[in-house]
Amino acid sequence: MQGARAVWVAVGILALAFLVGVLAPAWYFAGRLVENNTAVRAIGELQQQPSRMQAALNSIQDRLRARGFVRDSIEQLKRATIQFETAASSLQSGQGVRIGGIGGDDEVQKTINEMVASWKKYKPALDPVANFTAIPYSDSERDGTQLNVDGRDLQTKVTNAVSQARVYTPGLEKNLSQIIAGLQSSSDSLATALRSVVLIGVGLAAALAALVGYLSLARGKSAQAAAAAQQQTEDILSTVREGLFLLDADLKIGTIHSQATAQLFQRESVSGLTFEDLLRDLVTPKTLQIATKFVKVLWSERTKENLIRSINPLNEVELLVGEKGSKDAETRYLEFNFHRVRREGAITHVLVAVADVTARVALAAQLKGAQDSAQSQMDAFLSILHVDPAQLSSFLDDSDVAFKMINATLRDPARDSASFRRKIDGLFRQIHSIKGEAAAIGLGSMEARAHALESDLATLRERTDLSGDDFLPLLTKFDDLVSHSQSVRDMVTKLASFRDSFGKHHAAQGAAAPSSGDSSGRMPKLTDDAVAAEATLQRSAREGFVASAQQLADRIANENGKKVVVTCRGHDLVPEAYRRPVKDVLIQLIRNAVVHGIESPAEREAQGKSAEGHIRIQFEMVENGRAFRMQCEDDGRGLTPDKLRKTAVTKGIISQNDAQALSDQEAMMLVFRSGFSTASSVTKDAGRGVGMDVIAEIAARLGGRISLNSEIGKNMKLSLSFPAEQKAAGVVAA
Amino acid sequence: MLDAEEVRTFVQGTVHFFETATGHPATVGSPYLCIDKSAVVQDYAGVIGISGNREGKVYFTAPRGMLSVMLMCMNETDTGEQNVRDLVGEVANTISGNARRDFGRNFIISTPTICDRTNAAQAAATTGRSFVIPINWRSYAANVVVCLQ
Repeated sequence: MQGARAVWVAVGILALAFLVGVLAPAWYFAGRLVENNTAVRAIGELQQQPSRMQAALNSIQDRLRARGFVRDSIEQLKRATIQFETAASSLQSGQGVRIGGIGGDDEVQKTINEMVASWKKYKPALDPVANFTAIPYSDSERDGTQLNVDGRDLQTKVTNAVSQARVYTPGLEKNLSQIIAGLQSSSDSLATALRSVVLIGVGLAAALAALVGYLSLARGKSAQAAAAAQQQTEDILSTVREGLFLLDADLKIGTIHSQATAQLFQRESVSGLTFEDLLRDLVTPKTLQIATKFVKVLWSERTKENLIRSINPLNEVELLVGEKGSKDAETRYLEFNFHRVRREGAITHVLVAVADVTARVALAAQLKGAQDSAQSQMDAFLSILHVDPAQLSSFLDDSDVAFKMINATLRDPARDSASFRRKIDGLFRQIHSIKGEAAAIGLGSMEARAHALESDLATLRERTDLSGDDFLPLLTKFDDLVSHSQSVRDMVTKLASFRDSFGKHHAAQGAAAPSSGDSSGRMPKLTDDAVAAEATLQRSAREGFVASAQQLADRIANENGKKVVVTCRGHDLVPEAYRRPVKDVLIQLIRNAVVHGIESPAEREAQGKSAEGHIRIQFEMVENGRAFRMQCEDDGRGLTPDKLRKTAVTKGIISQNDAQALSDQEAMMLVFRSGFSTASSVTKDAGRGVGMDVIAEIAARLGGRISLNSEIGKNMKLSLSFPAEQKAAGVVAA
Repeated sequence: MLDAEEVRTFVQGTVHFFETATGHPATVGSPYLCIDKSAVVQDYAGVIGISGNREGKVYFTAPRGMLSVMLMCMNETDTGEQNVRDLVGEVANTISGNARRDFGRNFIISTPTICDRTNAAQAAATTGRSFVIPINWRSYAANVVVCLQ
C-alpha cells in the first residue's frame, strides 16, 4: 500500500517535471522560434527596401533629366522610406517585430543598432526627396519644359541622395543580411534546444508511461486480489452456518452479515437493525435488558472480555421457527457469542457469532433423560437389594393385580361427570394400597410414583365437572408406575439370575480353592458385595413381616421426628387368604398411629410417657375359631371426638347439625369416611384421607367388623374381626 | 414417559372432527391402558405410523354402525363400504394433521392405512402398552389408541 503511494508520488513529480522542464521551455522556444520566423519574414521584406529606394532615386534622377513624370517615383521612395523607418524603429525597440533566440542575440541587436545608425545618417538625404511635393517643371513655349527652381533644387537633392545611396545601400543590405543570418542562427539554436527539450520530454513521457503502466499493472493485481478477497469473503459468508455480523457503538448491525444470519432470525436481512430490535421478539424483556447491557459493557476497555463471557445471558435462546401451529413449526435454540473487533488497538465493533445449538440442546436433554433414568434405575436397584425377595416378589404380584383393578376401574365406561367421580374414590384406595405396601418394604421409587398419582387424583376430586380428558395426566402417570413396576421386576429377575450364577460360581470356587476368594482384582470385590447382598436378603427373609412393620414405623417416625417400637403377636395365625388384606390394613394402621397418634418424644415426656411410642399388634382366633381378629393399639394421644366433628364439618363431609348430633363413638367412626383427614398438610404418609377409608373398604369387602376405642391422651385401639373361613375364598378370587 | 399433552393432541383432533363434521358433540370417555399389547380394534381402523422423536402408532377405530350414522349426519346417503372407509381415513387424516401442527418437524407421520376387521389387528398391533381413549358420540363409542415409545 505504501509502495504504491510512493510510486504515485513519483508519477506526480515526473508529471510536474514534465510540465516545468519540458512543456514550459518547449512553449518558450517555440514562441521564440515563431517570433524569429516572423522577424525573418519582416526583415526579408525590409531587405529589399534599400535597393528600392536607390532605384527610386535613380528613376527620379533620370526622369528629371528627361523632364519626365517623377511623382510616382517620389511616392515609391516615400513608401520605401516610411516602411524602412517603421521597420528599423520596430527592430530597435523590439515592438511589433520581436527577435528571440538563444545566444547571438546581442550580435543581432548590435547589427540592428548599426543599421539604424546608418539609416539615421542616410535618411536625411532621402527625406527632402521623398517629401518633395512641388512641381519640378515649368513649361514655356519657348523653352519647352524646363526645370524650375524647385526642380533644380530637387535635382540637387536627388543627386546628393543618389550619392548617399551608393554609400549606405550596400551597408544597409549587408546589415539586414547579417540580421537575417543572426536570426536564422538563433532559430537553429532554438530548434536544437526545442529538439533537446522534446527528447527530454519523450524520455519523461516514456518514464511516466512506464510508471503509469506499472501502476496500472499493480493496481490491476491489487484489484484482482481485492476482488478475490471479496469473493472469498462472500463465499465464507454465504457458506458458514453461523450467523455473523458486526455491531457498532450504537449497537446497530452492519451492512455485511452471513447469509445464515437472516435464515436464523427468519428475516430477509438484518442490516441496519439494532441489536434490541433483533432480539425483541425472541427473549423476555428482562433478558433483552441484560443482553443489551452485556454488549454495552464489551465496549468498555476496562472490562476483561474473557471474564464476562461466563455471564453471557444469550447462551440458549429459544426460537420458534415457522408459523406457530403450522406443520413446519419447530423450536430451535441459538447461542450468541461476542468478540471485540479492534483496529489500531481501539475497539471499533463487536463481532456477534450466532450458532444454532438445537442438536446440542436436544442431545443434552436426551443425556439428562438417560442419566435420570439410569439414576432412577440404580436407586431402584439399590433399594431392592435391601428388600426381602419374597416380600418384593409378593409386592410385585400384588401390584400387578392392583394395576389390573385400577385399569378395570378406568376402563369402566363413563359418559358423565358423576361416573368419573365415582371412579376416583376406588382409584384412590387401590393406589393408596400400592403406595403403603411400597413404603412398607422400602421401595421409595414406587412409593413416590404412587404418591404422584394420588396427587393427581386429589386434584380431580376437587373438580366439580369431570371428563375423560381430565384423566389423561393420571393415565400417563399410571403408565409410568406400571412401567416402573415392570423395570423393578426385570431387576429382580436379573438379581435372582445373578444370585443363582454367583451361588454356582462360589460353590465351584470354594471346592477348588477355598482360600483364594480375596486374592485378585475386581471379582473379589464383586463377590464381597454379592455376599453382603445375599446376607441382607436372607436376614430380611428371617425377620419377615414384623421387621417390615417396624421398618415402616421407623421410617415414618424418623420423617416425623418421633420414636416408635412395634410389637407383634400371633402373626402366624393369619389365614393365608387374609395375608394381603391384613397387610394392607396394618400398613394403614401403622401410618395412622405414627403420624396422628404417637406424640413427639418431648410431648410424651412432658405427659409422663416414655419417649418411644408403642404400637402393639395382636392376631388371634376368636369365637371358637369361627372368627379371626386383629387388634392394633397405640399409646398416643388418642382420638378427640370434638376435633373429629370440627374437621368433618370443615371438609364438608357432614353438616354442623349432623356433627353435633353424633355421639362420641359415632364421631370417632368419622375417620373411616373417604377424604377425612385431620392432617394439616399432605405428605407421603398422611393428609389425603384415604388410609382409614381403605380399611373400611376391606372390612366391608370381607364381611368384617370394625370396632374403635380411644381414651383421649392415652391410647387408641382398633379391632377388626373377619369370618375365619367363609369369606377367605372370596379374597383369593378378588 | 408419554406426555398427557401429546396424547391430548390426537384426542382433541378427533373430537373436533366429530363435532364439525356431524354437528353433534363428542366427549372423551374414560381413558385406560391396554396392558397386554393386544390391539383394541373395532370394525374399522385408520392407522398412522409415527417416527422421529417418538416411534409407534396412533389409530382411530370405530364400529360400523357408528360410522354409518356419522355418514348420515353428514348428509351422505351412501353408507357403503367405500364411504365408510373414506370416513375413517378422513378422521385419521385429521388426527395426523393435528399431530403435524402440534409436533412440527420432530415427528414424522405416515399417511393413514385404512383397515377392517380382517386386517386391522395386524396393522394396529403394537409393541408396548397403549393408551386407549374412548370417544363417545351419541350412543356409540369409538377409540383413539396411542402407542408411542
